[in-house]
Amino acid sequence: MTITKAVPRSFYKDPAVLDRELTEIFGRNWLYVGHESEVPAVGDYVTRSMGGDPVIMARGQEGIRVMLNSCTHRGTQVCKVAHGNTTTFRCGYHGWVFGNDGELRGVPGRRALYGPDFDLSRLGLRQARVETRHGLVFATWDPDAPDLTAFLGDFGWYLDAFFGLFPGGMEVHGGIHRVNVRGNWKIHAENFSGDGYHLQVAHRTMFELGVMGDQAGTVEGFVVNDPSGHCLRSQYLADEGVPETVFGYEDHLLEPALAAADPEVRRFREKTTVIHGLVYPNLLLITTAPQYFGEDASGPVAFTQLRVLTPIDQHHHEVAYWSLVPRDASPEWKAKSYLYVTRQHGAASYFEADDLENFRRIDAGLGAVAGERTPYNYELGLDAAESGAPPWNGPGRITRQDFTEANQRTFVGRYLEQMGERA
Amino acid sequence: MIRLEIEDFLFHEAALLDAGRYAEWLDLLHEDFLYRVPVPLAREDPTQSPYDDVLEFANESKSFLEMRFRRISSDFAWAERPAAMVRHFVSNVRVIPQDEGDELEVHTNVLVTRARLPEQPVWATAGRRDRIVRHDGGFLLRERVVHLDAEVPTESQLGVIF
Repeated sequence: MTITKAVPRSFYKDPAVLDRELTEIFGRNWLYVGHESEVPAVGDYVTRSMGGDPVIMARGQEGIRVMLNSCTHRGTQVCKVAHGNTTTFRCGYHGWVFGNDGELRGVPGRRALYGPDFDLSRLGLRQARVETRHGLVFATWDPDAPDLTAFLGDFGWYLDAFFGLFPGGMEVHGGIHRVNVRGNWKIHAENFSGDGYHLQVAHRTMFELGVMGDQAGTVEGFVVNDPSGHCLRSQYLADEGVPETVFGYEDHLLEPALAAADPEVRRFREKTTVIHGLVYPNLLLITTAPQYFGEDASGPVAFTQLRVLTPIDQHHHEVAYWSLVPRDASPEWKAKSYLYVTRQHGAASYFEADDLENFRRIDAGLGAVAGERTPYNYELGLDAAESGAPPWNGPGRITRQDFTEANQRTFVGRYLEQMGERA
Repeated sequence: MIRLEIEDFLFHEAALLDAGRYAEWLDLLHEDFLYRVPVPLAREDPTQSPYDDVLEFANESKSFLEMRFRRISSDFAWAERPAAMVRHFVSNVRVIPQDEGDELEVHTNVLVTRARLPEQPVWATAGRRDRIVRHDGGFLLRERVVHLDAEVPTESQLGVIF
């Protein structure tokens, strides 16, 4: 794939572009909203964002719903807190009451003020389409969007390998925390989509401090992408015969899981040391097993983190962080996994700080006239082979080459296509 | 008066952080020191603590803080170049009497400003719950829990030790 047109710099600073993104990107794709384990009981809810729209994800009698957090009368937010349990949401302005399924249940003075024929059923909270995969709850506002399986395309196999490994499934540890960072959301998205090139510079101190331990054998990287914009990058052990990757899970969980896994999934997971990627357009994921974060956090422990990027304005975005753990892991292991992810990839961790610093500096370097004439360069790895022989057989366009921007080109290409600009 | 002694200790400790004298600051930490910043979340029930039991912005031991400071001295710590100017304003010092032992619980309010020139400074406010132990004629910090006043802070606000 070649790219003839990069994203113009105006796309990172023009408020009109952000408005179009909210419609064309956030209004049309499936967006990850949260995990089923965050709302385990009937009445549980969390509040989230889908692009510019505030939503409530709630479990009612008939399952999980995602609905606009905005009264159908005058648009007031009906829920103001991060999470809780309730049977109803009452608007604080005129008192309209909605069930936790979003149905409008009551209107003060209904019969006297609105008449006997006033139909509550057409004024429930606006509902998004909802589908789940391995407990991950996705929603979309587009009635014409393909179903989630079609949307995920070849990436579904990787999500299965990521979240379906443990028969007991995975759950969110605690909930989410959020941070407001400087920089356009797309820079963060393409970084996670597959930037193997920045590691030795941006994250050099992480390697110097021995966080990843001593890796035995030759480590290589590869990237995978799907034309619908989903991307994944992984590092794997290239040598046969060296010990398998250190997984960092408890043996009682890992051994039966690997024994039961599809052989190709098993090979994919066994050989890889870090996997990160992007579920287009704004869900980021990473799993790895770091080795050392101080004397109280020594020895490999795996973590799995999800992030959602939500634009605040063209120069800032909010990052929401989830930590997922195998549901059947011990409480001690879950706490340790959370400690590791907090120290490596939490909002206040100093490794995270290096990425956020670069996003900030990209924003500071946007410029105006001369900046606009200086498009970003996406040529890395253009001549690399488009397919090779990775140590497992999986779907998607695979490039056995770490130093390539094939994924960034995929993200940018799909984004421009959806924005009505030909890549 | 114990409060004056504690204030002297806390002002000295804050001055070391502000001056970037991290090795000396580490010397004020107990070997089991833990620094925690639980995540505040808006709650329906006003009697519930807004600080989450599980979620943390930070959880750092003394040996992890040593790694943090080793990193800062590297030329590749991008988020520390140029180094930030940090000022701690420590106030409302209250020493909470304990039933037993020589450990003190100390509550303070802090306002911390951070400026990475040429950018304008940002600031954050928090309550701190410190556990402080007597040691060798002075004090050591045993634990610091930071109750931040922001549910969705900026990365700049999170870039300091409170």
